[in-house]
Amino acid sequence: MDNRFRYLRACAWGGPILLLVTIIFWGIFGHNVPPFSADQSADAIAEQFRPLAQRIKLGMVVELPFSALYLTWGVAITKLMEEIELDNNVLSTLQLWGAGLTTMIFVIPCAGWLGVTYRAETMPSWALQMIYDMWWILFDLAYALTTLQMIPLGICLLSDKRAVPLFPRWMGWFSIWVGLMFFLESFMSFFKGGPFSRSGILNYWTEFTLFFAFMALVSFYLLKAIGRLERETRLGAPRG
Amino acid sequence: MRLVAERDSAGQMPALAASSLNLPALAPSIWAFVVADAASFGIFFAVFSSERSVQAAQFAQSAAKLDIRLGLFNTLVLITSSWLVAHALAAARRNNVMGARRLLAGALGVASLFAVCKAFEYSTKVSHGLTPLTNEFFSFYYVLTGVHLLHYAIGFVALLYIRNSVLADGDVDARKLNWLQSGALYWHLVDLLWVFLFPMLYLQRAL
Repeated sequence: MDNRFRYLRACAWGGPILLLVTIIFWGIFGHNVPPFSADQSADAIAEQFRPLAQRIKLGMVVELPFSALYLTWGVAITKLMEEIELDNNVLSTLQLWGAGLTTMIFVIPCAGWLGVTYRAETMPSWALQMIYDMWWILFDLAYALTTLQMIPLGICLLSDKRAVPLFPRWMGWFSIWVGLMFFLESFMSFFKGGPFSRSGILNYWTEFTLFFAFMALVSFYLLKAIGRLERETRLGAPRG
Repeated sequence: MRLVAERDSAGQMPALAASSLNLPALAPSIWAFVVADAASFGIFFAVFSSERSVQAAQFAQSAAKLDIRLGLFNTLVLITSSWLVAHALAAARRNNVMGARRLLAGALGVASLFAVCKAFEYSTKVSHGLTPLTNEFFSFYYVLTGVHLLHYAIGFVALLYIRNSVLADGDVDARKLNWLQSGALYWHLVDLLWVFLFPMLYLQRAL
C-alpha cells in the first residue's frame, strides 16, 4: 500500500530522543551545565576536569552516536515542509542541509571533548584548556549552520496556505527568531567571563534554553502534523 | 475576508472604499516575533542593569564618553522614520499605493541616516581606543547596539522589499496590507528598542 509518510514518525522521534540524551549525557555527564568557565586558569580547569574525565568520557561516548538522530529529525521536518512548499523545494533543501551540518556540530566537538578525556591525566594543563576551548568555540560559533535550518523552516511554516496550518504561525516566527538570536554567539569569542562568555547568562543559559525549546516545540508540532497528514491521507483529502 | 475593494462599473472606487479599504483588523502573526524579541531585549536590559549595579562608577564614567547628541539624533531619526511608516500604512488602507510607496521611500531615506551615524560613531569610538574589550560597559554598548543594528538592517531590507515588490503595482489587498502591517510593526519594534537603549546607554550619567 502506498504510504508517503512511511518511516516519517520514526525519523521525527529522533528529535525528542536526542534532546533527552543531550540533556543527560552531553549536559549532566559531560559536565556542560554549565561548562567550565573560561575565566579560570589552565591549571584550575585541568584540576576540575581530571577527576571528572571518566564521567565526561561516558557522556561523550553516548552522545556521539545519538547525534545522528538530529539528521533523521531534519529529514522528517524536510518531508513535512515538502507538504507546504508550493513552487520549489529550496526551503526544505536548505533546512535539510542546515540539519545535516548541525549534526556535525554535535559530532565534531563531542569527539574533541572525548579526545581531552583520552589522556587527561598526562596531558599538560595548557593543552587540555586549549583543546577544551577550541571545541567550545566551534560548538558555539558554528551557529549559522543551525540558523540555516531555522530560518528556512520558519519562512516555510509562514507560507502554509491551509486554513488551519500544519504548525501554528507563531512557530514560524519563533523559529526565525531563535535562528537570529544565535547571532549573540558571535560575541562569545571576545569574552572569558560575564553574560556573553560560553557559560554566561546570555550565551549559555539563554541560547541553550532557546535551542532546546526549539527542538522540543518543533518535535511536538511535527509529530502532531504527521498524525494529521496521515489521517487526511486515509480520508482521501487532496494534498496541500 | 474581503480582499480588494471592488470598483463599480464606471471603474470608480465605491464611496466607502475610496476613503478606506475597511479591511478587517488583522493581527499579523509577526506579533509572536515582536513579543519574543522584546522579551529577549528585556533579558538583555535586566542583565545590563544587574552588571551596572555592581560597577556603577565604571558604567557612569564610560557612558560619559558617548556622544549624547549622536544618540539623540538617531532617536529622532528612528521616530521620524516610524512616523512615516505609520503614515504609509494609513495611505495603504486608503488604497493609495503611490502615496504609501512615497512615504516608505521617505522612511527609508530618513532611516539610512541611522546607519551613517552609527558607522561614524563606531569608527570614532574605535579610533579613540574604545572597543568591546575596553571594559564591561563598552562590551554591552557594542553588543546591544550591534544586535539592534542587525534588527535595523533586517527591517530596512524588509521595508525596501515591501515598497519595491509587494506594493509594486495594483490595488492594496489583504495580503499586501498584511505585509505592510507586519513590516510596520517590526519597524516600530526597532524604534522602540532604540528608545530604551538610548537612555540606558547614553544617559547613564544623568540617571
